[in-house]
Amino acid sequence: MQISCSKTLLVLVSLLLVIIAVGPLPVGASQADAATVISSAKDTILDCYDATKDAEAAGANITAIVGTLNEASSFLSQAEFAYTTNDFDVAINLARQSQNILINYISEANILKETATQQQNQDFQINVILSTIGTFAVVAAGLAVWFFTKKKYKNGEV
Amino acid sequence: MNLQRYKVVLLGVTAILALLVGSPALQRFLVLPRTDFFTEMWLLDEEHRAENYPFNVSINERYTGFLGIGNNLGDCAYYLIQLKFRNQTQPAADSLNHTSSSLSSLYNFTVFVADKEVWEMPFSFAFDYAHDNYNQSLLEVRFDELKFNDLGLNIKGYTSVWDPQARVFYGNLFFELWIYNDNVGVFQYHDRYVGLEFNMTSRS
Repeated sequence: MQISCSKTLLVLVSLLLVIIAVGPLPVGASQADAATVISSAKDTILDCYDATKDAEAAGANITAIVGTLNEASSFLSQAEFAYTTNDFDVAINLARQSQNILINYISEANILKETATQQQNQDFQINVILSTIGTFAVVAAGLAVWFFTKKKYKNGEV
Repeated sequence: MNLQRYKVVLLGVTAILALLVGSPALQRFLVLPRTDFFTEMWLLDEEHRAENYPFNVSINERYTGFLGIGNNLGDCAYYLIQLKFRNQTQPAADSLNHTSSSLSSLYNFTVFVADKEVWEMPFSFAFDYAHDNYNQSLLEVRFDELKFNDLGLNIKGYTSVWDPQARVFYGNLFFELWIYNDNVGVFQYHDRYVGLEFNMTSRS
């Protein structure tokens, strides 16, 4: 009787140790978890969208980064669909994929923005400042030629 | 040549040269601002033309097409496309009143389009449905599932009754375009929709 009792105890303790070693049993993601991850992915996309608009306003070519944004957006759409079909594990996985695609997005958009701003400044210097100075130089040269010609004409040299 | 003629020639040459040299600066200030800001939306058939749209639909047969958006709004836009399905009695989007259909969306997807750029997506769809027969006549189509780009969308509960005038079991699959409003932080109906109209035949 005593041996049987200690055997049962031994089995139970072993089972407990195995459970502790293996870790917690996997459980399906909850609706709340999925909603949180999807909401976070949405916020990430909106932040990236703002960065994209800033880069575009600075005159950057945003075609490539918009492609990345669309890729992330596609994962998010699929995540939302999975959420509506109560497939919360898939929803979380897809929403995280959406976020992973955008990890370096904002810094890339900012680099594009800075490059475009520099390019715009350079263009402004070349196109506006140099062109304006050139126009004044042409007018001044025209006036100089005029006065020179007029002077020569009066002196009877022309 | 007298002095007056010199003056005219010199003025002309100076003016032309000044305009040439000053044109890079002038073009910055003389370009007329854009006044037309709009979004284009289109639907094309499987051959990328606006001709052979599917009409007589068979059960579970796969059809394809292209959906496109062109952004001319002046900056990058964030669009939401809602896929909806209706029969002849259910509300459609209304171009005159600028309202979307009150039907719930079967599938939503978002897309970003940069200014002066276009986005286009191939899509496929197939309907799973059954005809109800009463006294050897077909009276109603009961829908079960819409496969859109291989996603199974549940359209159980959707029906279409026989339209004796048009002689069709009418079905209308349409895409509504919504746009993200930065100021209020929500998507708003953008007054654009495109769709396909079908006769749900009993062929399979």
